[in-house]
Amino acid sequence: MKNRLILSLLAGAVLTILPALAQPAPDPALPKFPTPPPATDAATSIIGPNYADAPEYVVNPNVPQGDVREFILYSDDSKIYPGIVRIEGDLANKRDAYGNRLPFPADQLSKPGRYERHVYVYIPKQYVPGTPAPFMVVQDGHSYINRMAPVLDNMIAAHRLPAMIIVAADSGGSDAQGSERGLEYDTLSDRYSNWVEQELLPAVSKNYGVTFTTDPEGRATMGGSSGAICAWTMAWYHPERYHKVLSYSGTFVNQASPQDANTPRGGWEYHETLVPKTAKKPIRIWMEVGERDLHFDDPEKTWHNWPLANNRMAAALKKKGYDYRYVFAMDAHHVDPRVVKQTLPAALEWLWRDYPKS
Amino acid sequence: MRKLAVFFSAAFLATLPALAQALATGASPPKFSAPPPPVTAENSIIGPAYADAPEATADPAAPQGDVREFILYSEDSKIYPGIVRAQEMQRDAHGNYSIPAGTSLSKPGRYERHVYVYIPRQVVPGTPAPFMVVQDGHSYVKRMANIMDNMIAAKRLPPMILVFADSGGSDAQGSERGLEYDTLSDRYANWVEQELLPAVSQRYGVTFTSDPEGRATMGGSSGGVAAFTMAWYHPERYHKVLSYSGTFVNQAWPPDPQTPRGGWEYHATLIPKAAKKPIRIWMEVGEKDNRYDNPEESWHNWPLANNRMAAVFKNKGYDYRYVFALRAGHVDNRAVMQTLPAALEWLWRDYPR
Repeated sequence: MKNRLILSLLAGAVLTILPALAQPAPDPALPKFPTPPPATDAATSIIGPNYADAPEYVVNPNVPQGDVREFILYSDDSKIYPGIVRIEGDLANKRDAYGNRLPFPADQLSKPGRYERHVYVYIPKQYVPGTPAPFMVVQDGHSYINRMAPVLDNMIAAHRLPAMIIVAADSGGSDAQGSERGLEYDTLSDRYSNWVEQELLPAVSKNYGVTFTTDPEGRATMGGSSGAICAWTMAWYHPERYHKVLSYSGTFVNQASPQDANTPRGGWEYHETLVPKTAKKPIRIWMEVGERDLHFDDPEKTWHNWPLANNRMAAALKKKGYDYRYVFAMDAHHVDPRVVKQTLPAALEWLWRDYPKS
Repeated sequence: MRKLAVFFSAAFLATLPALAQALATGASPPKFSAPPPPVTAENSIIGPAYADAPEATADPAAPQGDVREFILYSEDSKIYPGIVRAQEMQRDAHGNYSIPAGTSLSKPGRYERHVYVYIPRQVVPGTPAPFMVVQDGHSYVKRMANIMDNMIAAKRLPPMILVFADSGGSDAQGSERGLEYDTLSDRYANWVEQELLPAVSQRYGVTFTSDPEGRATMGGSSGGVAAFTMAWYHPERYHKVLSYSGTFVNQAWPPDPQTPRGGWEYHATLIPKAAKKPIRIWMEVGEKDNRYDNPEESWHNWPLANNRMAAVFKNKGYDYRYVFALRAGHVDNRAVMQTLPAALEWLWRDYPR
């Protein structure tokens, strides 16, 4: 591992929030292409620019309060993700004209390095031990667990959501090309989904005596940014495992590293080739992007414009007849907390609308 | 995680006791600001202004120690199985707490305790290392890692392991943190010996020295009195104590008839009446520390309590240093970041490098 795990985690969090600032400033003279909002329709809405927190976030002492537990998974104990760190240097510092990192062969950009991965688990009071529970896996767990616990408490008590377990797992650290987080979240493969199945969920079951449903209708995954494309990737490569995806500012852009010849533009390939050319899969997705999201005015050929990528994603999903909702948030930035706090309860309700409530 | 929210709100209240008190009583009791102590060979008055010590700046040329983290769960502890506060406390005008007779302030409740461990590059596996136990670990680990790297590389400190353990949560009377830190007994020292240090050894393959000269403990606020308590009840284990804004006040719970005013008894009775123990202590308090203008009879005035500690150390001939930080609040970050490197150096000045 990096010898300063906590510092590197913090640095990773800052990078996650402010990736544009962490990179060399692109030439301001480059032409700009602000992404226009999509056309609204039954599945697509435009919200903002004024936002208000949803009332479901307010703690209600009169409803049962679920337990929130925490444990740590160590890279030394993982077969699937033994741990990498980026080799900082000339290669890691390279950027395209618009300030985007570039993919490189794994052995040139990364080296083995350990991590300590925090996992937070929300278990509703209504959970009956021994019964297979519906659940949601949440990427970058520490960013969401505190915000989501009261929402779950309130909505489960009101029978608006099933009594589900939330497994909010952090990544293995840092961000983007060459990092452990990038490897886990931005890679187009079933590796992360397999890690969840073979390492994460068994650890939660063992620690807390809970069991998880195998019904894909009762299995959801969500995240923001790379955590969101990760959610989609989990369902895409294993639709028999997950039928529900929730995405904020999904990184459906060219951020996978190392480059894969089958998907040379990484996540951009989902809307460009994979979704259009593949038979419709039984995946339901709620997704959001901000008008001012990352690289919102960069040209298409960078394959790195978040609003454009999400517009394309929605268009591809519509064309194939997917069950989706798309929210374009005016004035909003990357995984904008104002938007998350306004939209998440309704998004969860839409996603789980036909699942049996307790 | 919810425990964290509780902890932060408790920390907030701890920094604003006067406000909490005014809210509780609606009255404004008379003020008795504790004056600065006399300046002597041992006592100094510092600030304002304050400046961070240069040792806190990362130096890429110094070997960077490893910082690791793990969690200890209440279910696995024999000594601290876990409590949470069961009812709101009633406060007197000076913030002393009471509860209705026949009721209990605490009930069983679980905790998840984070522990951070700093292991310098220079530690040789298999050799017993000097070390320091740091209470409320999460508050100090980030601030101290650079200091340790730089001062160990410069041979101003021995290559020592730092064990930064959080408390079991919340704060003050009736809480797990209060039980662990504010209690005058050897329970916390025994927990460190029997549960904390073995867990660190098992995980990271390090061994700890049994020489009390190589064993130090530090903390701020209740973590400061906890550090002194560890050494007081087991001076054969710890000879070095570092305290910021030590809670040498009446905050122990449940009440103990042997020490009815909790930590206040250290300077009022325990140290004056006991033979001098082989404990070296560096301590600090802020001029505007908790309840700095409460009367003595509150047993709750931090600057006054620390002034008294310094005075009894002087009387008994202890090896101590006392810093009174003008304009500084409770465990004031400005004072910590200015003084900590020199305090560590003074504490470890004659230990082999």
